[in-house]
Amino acid sequence: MPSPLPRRPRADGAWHSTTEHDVSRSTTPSTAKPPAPTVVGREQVRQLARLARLELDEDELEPLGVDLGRILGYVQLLGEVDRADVEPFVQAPTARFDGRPDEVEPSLSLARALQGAPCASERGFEVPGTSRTT
Amino acid sequence: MSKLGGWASLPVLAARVARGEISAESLTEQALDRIARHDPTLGAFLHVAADQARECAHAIDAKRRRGAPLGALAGVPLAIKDVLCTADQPTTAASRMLAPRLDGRSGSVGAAWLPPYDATVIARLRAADAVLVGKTNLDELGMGSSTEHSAFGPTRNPWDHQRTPGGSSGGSAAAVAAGLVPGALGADTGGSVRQPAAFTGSVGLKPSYGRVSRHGLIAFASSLDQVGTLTDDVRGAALLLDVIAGPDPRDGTCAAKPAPALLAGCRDAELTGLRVGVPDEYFEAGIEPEVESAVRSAIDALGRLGAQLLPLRLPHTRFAVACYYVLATAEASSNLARFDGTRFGLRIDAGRGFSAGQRREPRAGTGDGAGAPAPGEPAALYEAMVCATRGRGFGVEVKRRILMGTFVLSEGYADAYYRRAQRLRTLLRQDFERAFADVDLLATPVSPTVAFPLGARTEDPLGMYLGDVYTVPASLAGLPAVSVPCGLGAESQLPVGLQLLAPPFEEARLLRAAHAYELARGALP
Repeated sequence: MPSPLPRRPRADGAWHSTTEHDVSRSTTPSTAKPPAPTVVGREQVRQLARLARLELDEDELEPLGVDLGRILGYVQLLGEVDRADVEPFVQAPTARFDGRPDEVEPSLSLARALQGAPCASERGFEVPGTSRTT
Repeated sequence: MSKLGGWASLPVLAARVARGEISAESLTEQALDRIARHDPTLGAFLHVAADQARECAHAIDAKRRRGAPLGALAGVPLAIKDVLCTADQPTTAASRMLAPRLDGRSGSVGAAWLPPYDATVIARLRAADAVLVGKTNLDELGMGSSTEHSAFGPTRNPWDHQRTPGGSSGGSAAAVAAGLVPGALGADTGGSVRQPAAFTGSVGLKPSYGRVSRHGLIAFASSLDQVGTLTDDVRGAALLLDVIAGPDPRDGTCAAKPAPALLAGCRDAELTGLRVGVPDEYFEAGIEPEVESAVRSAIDALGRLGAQLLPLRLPHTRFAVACYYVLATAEASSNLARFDGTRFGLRIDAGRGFSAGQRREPRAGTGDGAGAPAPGEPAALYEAMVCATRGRGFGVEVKRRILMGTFVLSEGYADAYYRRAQRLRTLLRQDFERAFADVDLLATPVSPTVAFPLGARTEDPLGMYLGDVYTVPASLAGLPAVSVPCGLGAESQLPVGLQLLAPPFEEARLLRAAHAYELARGALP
């Protein structure tokens, strides 16, 4: 679960530049209308990108915000039929595998497991800041 | 239409090879020759494994000469959607993330990722003596409905090269429709096998959720993803599913149920006593008249075969696309966390590996949050590498979906979006449960339109999503569904698909009816 988004509208109104309201109300029960962000501003796209660990160029922020706003506007439709008495669907109940005997089987060799890594030593994957390569 | 024809049905091809009437090597050469001649125009393949295919075919022929028994797919050349792991062929998911040296549209896979193991379905195809000739194009990581969101450029529809083959399994569908190979595997999360099948005049089967192992399938949305098949006919789909279906200790979501013998069940030529539901919601505003007309004619044909046609309602259908694009993006945003520059594919180290002129600070996605490590600290270096890699490695549609999924799962919004969509999914499933209390199968269109022109929807992501309206409900409910060609649109002269849906794990009933329809329909133009 990513860390929380800001709970109050930003000073620049970026999140809801056409539909101003308090985002903290978005945790209301299922009978209430969901928030209606029709425009997602640059700062909010930047914030989502930070949560998603996705580095974006400045010129990507605005078009992504426009698209996200349209898509989020469309999925407001879900609010029309929401019923608090309905159990959320999590996983198809008939699709469970019953498990297998707890027996050791051959597994990948270290060399094979590491073959596709962008950077590896004989010991394992290497990443900047936590390995000898940096 | 550049359909080459000439492939017999998969079961017929395999039987001929097993009897020694035709060699695996000659079938393989035929496929490789067709790919060499026609794929430069179509762009269906990302990688052609000519040497491995020839070696494999040679070994199969040698096995037959020794008198050893051959598998159910003896010598049959098949193509594989490049989202399934193959230990001897590069696997890219059509993403720069797994093809770090990809050079634009020139299409060289370069030093692409070589998986350390075969997907279970790949191992089963090999064990059945199939010949895997190459990997096919798709929308990056399966995210799209046109195969235009591929880092390698689009695939073209064999019926009209200015149109998309659909997606995301567009490469597999185009390869089969053009006659480059007699069959292929795809994967279907919200319609990614069925819609391209409909757009190209192929048979596209999405099995029940849990019918086929997903070990080695690069995950998009794990509560929805299923491996599916693309073939010229229903018997081909039945044989492929016979080979790949069934429990797998390596996939805990794969059902313990043994798979029925589907090919053996494809023999009826009539449907007397079968109750087929026709849901009103699938013929409402938005469907092109020529699509509606072709599908209704096909449903009438089911009636003439003896099926009882019953109109019914699936009242939550119109919410399915909204439900799907909340749940699928939420799951994708989590699943795609694995692409972090550590274990496979692309890595962009912060401060290194960037071309000139790219700004380093400040950038979205790096180090502006509370508690972020200070620049220069080991954790900050790692974090910067992860963010830079993901920013460069993913294409725009994948970024859009990751951001959407991150939003609907974030605190303060998860109740209003994610959990709401989960409850809607229950209502959609209940719609189907009620319907299947009264009918044995459902018959619907696959897509509201025929294949659309390249570029028509790339600037309109929501418009692209809305085209999935008839395929996502079966995905959300975990139902098996098949797209069977039902003729050409009267105006466009492009293929139209009839979709049949069955209750979970009723593939035998589904394919029996699809096969009977196919017999009655006769050969396509």
